[in-house]
Amino acid sequence: MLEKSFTGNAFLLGDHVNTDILHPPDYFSLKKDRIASGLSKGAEDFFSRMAKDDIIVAGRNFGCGSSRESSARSFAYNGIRAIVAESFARIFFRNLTNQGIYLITCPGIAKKAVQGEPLVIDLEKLEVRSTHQGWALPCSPLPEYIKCVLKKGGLLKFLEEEIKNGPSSK
Amino acid sequence: MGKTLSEKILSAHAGHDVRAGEFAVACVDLVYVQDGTGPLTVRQLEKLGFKTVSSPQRSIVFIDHASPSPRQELSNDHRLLREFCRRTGAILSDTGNGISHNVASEDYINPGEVVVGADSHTCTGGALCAFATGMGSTDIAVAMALGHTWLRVPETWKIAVAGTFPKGVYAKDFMLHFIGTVSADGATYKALEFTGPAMESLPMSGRLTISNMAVESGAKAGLFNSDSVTKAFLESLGRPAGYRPLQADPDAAYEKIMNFDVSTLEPMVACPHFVDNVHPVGTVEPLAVNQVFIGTSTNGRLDDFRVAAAILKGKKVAPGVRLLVTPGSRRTLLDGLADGTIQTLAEAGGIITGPGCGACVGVHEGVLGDGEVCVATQNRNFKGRMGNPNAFIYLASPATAAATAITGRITDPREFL
Repeated sequence: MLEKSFTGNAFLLGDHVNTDILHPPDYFSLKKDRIASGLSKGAEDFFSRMAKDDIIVAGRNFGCGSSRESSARSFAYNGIRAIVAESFARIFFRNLTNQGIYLITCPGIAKKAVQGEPLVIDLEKLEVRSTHQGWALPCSPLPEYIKCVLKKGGLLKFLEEEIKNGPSSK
Repeated sequence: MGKTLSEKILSAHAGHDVRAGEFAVACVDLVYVQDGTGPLTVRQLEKLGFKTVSSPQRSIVFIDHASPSPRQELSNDHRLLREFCRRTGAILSDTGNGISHNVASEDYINPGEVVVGADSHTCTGGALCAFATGMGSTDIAVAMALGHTWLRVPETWKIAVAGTFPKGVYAKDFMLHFIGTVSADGATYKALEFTGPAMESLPMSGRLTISNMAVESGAKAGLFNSDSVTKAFLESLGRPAGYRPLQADPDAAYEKIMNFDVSTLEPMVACPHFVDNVHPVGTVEPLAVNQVFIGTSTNGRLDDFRVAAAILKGKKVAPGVRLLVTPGSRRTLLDGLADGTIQTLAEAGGIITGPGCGACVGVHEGVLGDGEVCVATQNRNFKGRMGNPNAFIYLASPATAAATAITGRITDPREFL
C-alpha cells in the first residue's frame, strides 16, 4: 500500500550530511542489531536525541558519500519511514527507496521548517506543510517505478512478487 | 539529434533508443561488490532464492576494504564471500589483489560497456568510456542475478578542458578545482563528459583519477571518449580485443557545457571536511601533518607513485610524519618493485602496505588519532573518514603529498620540482 501522508515533528539536520557520519564503516555488518546501533554514530549522535515520530528534515545532498547499504538499513531498522530534504545524494536515494523508505525532495524546506514543530508530508497534494505556522511547500512527485517499489515495502519484496509471477520486464 | 556517450551506451544495452530523462532497463556487462557491501548482496540473493548468478565470469567479488581483516566478524564476512564465489563461479579477487576499481579497470572493463558496482566510486570505469556507476548491495544483487538493472538515463554536462598542465599540476588538481567550482552536489544525477585537449592528452592514470571523483560532485558517471590513449592502455595490459573507438556525437544534446583551462591552474587541496572546500596549496595555512597517505582508487597507480618517488628520491620523510604507501593493485605493486619506485619510497621512510583500500576507509590500518592532520591522495575528506571524526583530512595530488611528507607541513610541490 502506498502511504498517503506522514506526520511528525521536524528534526533538522544540515547540508551535506555524509554516510560516514550517518553510519560509520565500523558498523559494517550483517547483524541487524549491529547495523541498527550504528545510526548517526559517526560524529555527533543525533539519533539518540530524536523522538519516535520525529521526521528528519535535511538540507542539500543528504547521504552523500559511500554506497554502503548498511547506512540505509540503519534507518529502516530504527523504524524511520520518511525523510524530507532539500536534495538527496543519488546512491543514498536509491538505497533508502529499496528499503521502502519515502524520500521526499522539497526545495526550500530547510529554511522553512522549525525544529520540533509539527509537519505533514502530504503525498496526495504533493506538499509538505506546517498547519501550525500556515505554510506549505510543493515537493517533487515520486516516479512510477519508485511508487511500485514503495507500495510493496521495498525492492526485495517488489522483486519477489515479480519473480514469482514470471520473468521480469526484460 | 546525436547522442551523448551515456545515451549511446545505454541505448545499446536497453535494446532500443533511450534519451536523457527516460528510464531504461539495461543489461550489464560487469557487476562487482567489495567486502563492505558484498555480504549483504550475497544475503539478498539468497533471500530472493537465487542459487546462481547470471554471468559468473562477469561477476566479481573484491576483498579490498578491510583487507587483511582486522577483526573476527569481518573475517567471517570474507569467508562468506569466498564461499559464495566457490558456489556460484563468480570471480574472487582476494586480499592482496587490490582495489576493485583499479583491478576492474586493469583487467575487465572495456569501452562501451555498462558496469555497476556496490561501491560509490564504481564511476572510475568511465575513464575507459564505460557507463559505470555505483549502487547499493540490493540493487547489485538484482543486477547480478538477472543480468540487468534499471537506470534513469542521465542528462550530460560536457566539461571542455583546454590548455596544458603546468609543471607540478596534475589531473587530481584539476578535479579538485572542478569539484570546488560546481560544489559537492552541483552535478547530482548527471553524467559528466570530459573532453578537450587537456583531457585528451591525459594518460589513462589521470583519466581514472578524474572519473573516480565524478561522484564527489554528485554525478552518476564521469566519462571519457575511447581513443588512442584507451587503445594503448588496453594493449599494454594484453587486452587489445577489448578496444573500440567510441565518442559522443558532435550534435549531442548537453544540459550544460562548462569550459576550463588548466594552463594557469595551481596545485590544489580540499580542506576539511568537504571535498568542495578547495583552495590553492599556497594559500592554505602550512599546518604540521601527522600522516601522509599515498594510494587509493583515486591516486594509487604506478604513475602516481612515480611522481611521489621523483620528489622523495634521496630525501627523508620529516620526523614525526608517517608516510603510508598503498599500491592500488598487485600489478601496481609488482611494477613499482620492478622499476625501483617502491624501493625509493621505502628508502625515504615510507611504510609500504599491501595493495587495497588501505587507510582511506578507516576500517583497519592507518586510523587517525584525535586532532591529527593527514594529507591524503584519496577522494573524500569527510568528517569521520579514515576512522576518526576528530581528525582533519586534506586531499591533494601525490606530488603535494610527497612534498608535504618531506617538510612535515602542507607544501606546494613546485618547491621540489
